[in-house]
Amino acid sequence: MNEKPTLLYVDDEPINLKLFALNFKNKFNVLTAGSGLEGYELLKKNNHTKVVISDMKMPGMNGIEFIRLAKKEFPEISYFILTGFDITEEIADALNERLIHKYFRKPFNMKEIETSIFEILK
Amino acid sequence: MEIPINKNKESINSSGEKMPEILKNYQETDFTTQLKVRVFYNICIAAIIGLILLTISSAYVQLSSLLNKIYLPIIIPEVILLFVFGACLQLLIKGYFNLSAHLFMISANICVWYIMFAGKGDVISQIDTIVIILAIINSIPLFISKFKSTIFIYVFVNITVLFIFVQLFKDEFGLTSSVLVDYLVDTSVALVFSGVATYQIVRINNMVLEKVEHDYQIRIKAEQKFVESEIKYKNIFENAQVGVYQTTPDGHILQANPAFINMFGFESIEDISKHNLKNNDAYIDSSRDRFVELIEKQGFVKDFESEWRKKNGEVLIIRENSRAIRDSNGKSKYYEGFVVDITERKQTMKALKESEEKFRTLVESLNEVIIVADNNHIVQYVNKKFTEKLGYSPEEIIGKIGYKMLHDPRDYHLIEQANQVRINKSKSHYEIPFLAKDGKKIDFLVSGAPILDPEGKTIASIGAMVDISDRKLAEKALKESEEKYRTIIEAFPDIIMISDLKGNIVFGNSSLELITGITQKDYSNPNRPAHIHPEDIHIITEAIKELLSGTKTHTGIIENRFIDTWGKTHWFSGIMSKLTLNNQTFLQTITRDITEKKNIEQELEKHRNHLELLVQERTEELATANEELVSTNEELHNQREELEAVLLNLQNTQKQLVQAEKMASLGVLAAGVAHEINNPLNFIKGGVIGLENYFDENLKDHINEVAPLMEGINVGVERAAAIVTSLNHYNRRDDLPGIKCDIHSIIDNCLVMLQNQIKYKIEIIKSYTTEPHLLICNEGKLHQVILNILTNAVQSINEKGTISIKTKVDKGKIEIAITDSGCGMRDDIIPKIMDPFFTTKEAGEGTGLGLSITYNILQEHDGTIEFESQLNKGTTVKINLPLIIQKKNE
Repeated sequence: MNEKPTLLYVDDEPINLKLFALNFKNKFNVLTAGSGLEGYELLKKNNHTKVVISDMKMPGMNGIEFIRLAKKEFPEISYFILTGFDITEEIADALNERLIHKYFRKPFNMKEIETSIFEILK
Repeated sequence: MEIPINKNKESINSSGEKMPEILKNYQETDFTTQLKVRVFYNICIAAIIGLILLTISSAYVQLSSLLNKIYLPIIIPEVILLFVFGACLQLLIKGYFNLSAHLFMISANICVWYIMFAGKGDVISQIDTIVIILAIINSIPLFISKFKSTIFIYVFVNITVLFIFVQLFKDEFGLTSSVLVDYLVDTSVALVFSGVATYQIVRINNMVLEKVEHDYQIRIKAEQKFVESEIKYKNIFENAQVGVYQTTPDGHILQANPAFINMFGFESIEDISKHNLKNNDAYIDSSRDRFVELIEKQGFVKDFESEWRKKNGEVLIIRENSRAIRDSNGKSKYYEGFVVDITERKQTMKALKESEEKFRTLVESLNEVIIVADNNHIVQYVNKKFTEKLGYSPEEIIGKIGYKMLHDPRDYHLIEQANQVRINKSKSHYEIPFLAKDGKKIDFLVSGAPILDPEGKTIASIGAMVDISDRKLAEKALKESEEKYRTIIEAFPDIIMISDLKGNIVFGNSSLELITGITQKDYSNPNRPAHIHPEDIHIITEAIKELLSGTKTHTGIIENRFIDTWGKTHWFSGIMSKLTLNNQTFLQTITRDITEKKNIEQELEKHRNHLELLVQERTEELATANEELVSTNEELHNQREELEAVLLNLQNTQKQLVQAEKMASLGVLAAGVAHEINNPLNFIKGGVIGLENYFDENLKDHINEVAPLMEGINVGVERAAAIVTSLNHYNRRDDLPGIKCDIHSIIDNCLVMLQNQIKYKIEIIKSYTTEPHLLICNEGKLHQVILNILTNAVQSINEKGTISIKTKVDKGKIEIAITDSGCGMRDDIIPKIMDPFFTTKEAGEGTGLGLSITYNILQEHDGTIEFESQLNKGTTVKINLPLIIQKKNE
């Protein structure tokens, strides 16, 4: 795999977006969006996106709602949640439905995220 | 009285001569008849003897002289006559005096006339025979007792026979008609004259006899009367209650009746006559002298009272009525009189007077107002209280018509009613307002009674009156208060009812009618349609029995069914109380219609029963499916234990509900806080990673200097993240399925983790249960719980100490008890220890979240936690976790 896989990170905190892009730029081609709607538009433009990581609590659509919407259009993409909360019922349901593969906790653990994504992408 | 009279009669009878034995048939006849009978008897005997002699002499004369043979026409009649006379005698003896006498007379006459016809001697001898006839006629009176004119029948018959005789034999006699007429006239006159004379003699004789007899009877009657009256007076004298006496003027007692003798305590007349009244043996004071003076002056004394001394010395008060009996010269012969003992009466009167005085004083001092009025309502007496209450002095009211002064004319009808009652001689009680002198109206309760004279006639009436103005006011207040309570009771939604012990309702509020349909006309009807459900009657009966026999005035809450007037069944829940009104026991029932609540309960019960049924079915299924498993009995037993454990758990849960509430709200807060902190932490973490990468790629020489700084930031971020993660426990409901846990290995793991702090300092005493059990839990969380508790235990021990860990299985639960010998806690701290951020540890040593999280985790596992602690002695923490019933493994 010569090409870096494209990853979309959605978070309403611009700092988080910046830091995530900076830290993962070597491993992934990182796209960032400040809301679910923005992320959805980005996905439409970048149809080779392999992975979507979304924050949970955002204005407008929350993470799960956004993923649910995106998954309909792009079912081949792998979706993850990165949340400041502990697991909630909504997240648990999403896991059970296999809407998302996994959920990560803030503050993020780079290794964990890398490992999980590469496992999925294999 | 009878006996002496009888005796008298006998003596009168016996005074005449006794009748001969042969004439005893005439014993009972009157005296005259007796005499007649006796004479006639003798005549009969004489006639018979004479006739016998005559017959013999006739026979002798005839045989010896004229014919030389017996001349039958003479002899035969003589013999016949003899027999007739015999018959007469016989009849006489038999008692037929009259028949016998007349037969004798008639036969004698016939015989003489026969001889006259047969003999036909010369006129002179004929005249002799007629003389005999006259003699016979003259003896008639002897035999006539009643019809004296019978004499004239004999006279007439003889004259007739005489005329026939003369007419037949006038030729033989050869008499001239003038001589014949003369003979007839002479003889007839003789016969008539002797008849009349005899008649008169008989009449006179009878009249005399009657007179004598009459006088005799009168005398006998008089004698009898005299005897009777004598006896009567003697009786009166002997038996009179009044003492009767006769004395000489100088005081000697001549006669005294038993009453008199007894009155003075003597034995007999001889005993008392030894005493002399004049010598003051009897009279105590000088009253004898006064008595004599009075009786000599006016000839009598009336109601003379004096005191006498009895034989035994007692004083006797007497009253006497006496008179003097005087001789022709006016000198007193003796005194006689009647004495009455009035000692008792005198004493009674004295007592009566005293008692009257006492009553008057009493009446004066009475608290009641007393009025006495005569039949015309004229006031005769009032007591002091009257003046006090009504203002009139006795002088102002006595002699006036009471009711006109004391009452409002509008109340006269009340007086009239009371008067009617009094006229009937009954007591009357009534309330009536009086007008005082100053015009004030005062309510009195009057008790009126008639005053009767000895004949029972009402002569006056007395009224005792009590001022009841205050009571009237109180009554009014009571009525108002009663009205108030009645309004409350009537508006009360529950049934309030008072009934007597026979089941009659005395009172019921409106709810009674509303709910049960019992109207007032049903109150005393034992068969009213509304009634207690027959199956529940025993509940009520027993409750009543207990209530009546016991000392409690209320029953506990009684629930019973009740069928209303329309046939609908209600559930009632109420309390019965006993109350006493006018000495009668009543039952008060306050009850609530809980039919609806009961229906819901029953519905629930039905569901529960259904559920139980399902469980039972399931149990049965299991039992049949696997006979090798534990028997059904044990199973049920375990189930019950489990249920009990659940119940206990429920109770504990309830206890911790407040705590849970607190935690829940905290959870929401914690989650929010966690998110907000995690984002900045994410910035730091992201930044550090970026910096590390940067140094790694571009500034490798500086790595050694920067690395510790980076490390510091990383540790800080991680610790902060850990705290935030902990906070998340409050909100999290981990849906990760639990796994089978070995509590003992978890405890051991934790001990290993704490080994550093335990070493050389604390002795661990383990006592693990060997009973097989199955605990399904989130293992990580359970580790956290045990670790928290053990950490606290370890930290509570400053120097050396022990921690004992005990597990046991009980009723479907496992209990983990961890006891330390540490510093312990004060009682007032215990309720706070599970509050988040509460800590007793030094700053930095604890977060104050450990027990709070422990509590939350245990709640997630349906477990409980309890603390027992004593300051400076140690703490015991007991954790209970529910077990999975093992038999569910198939």
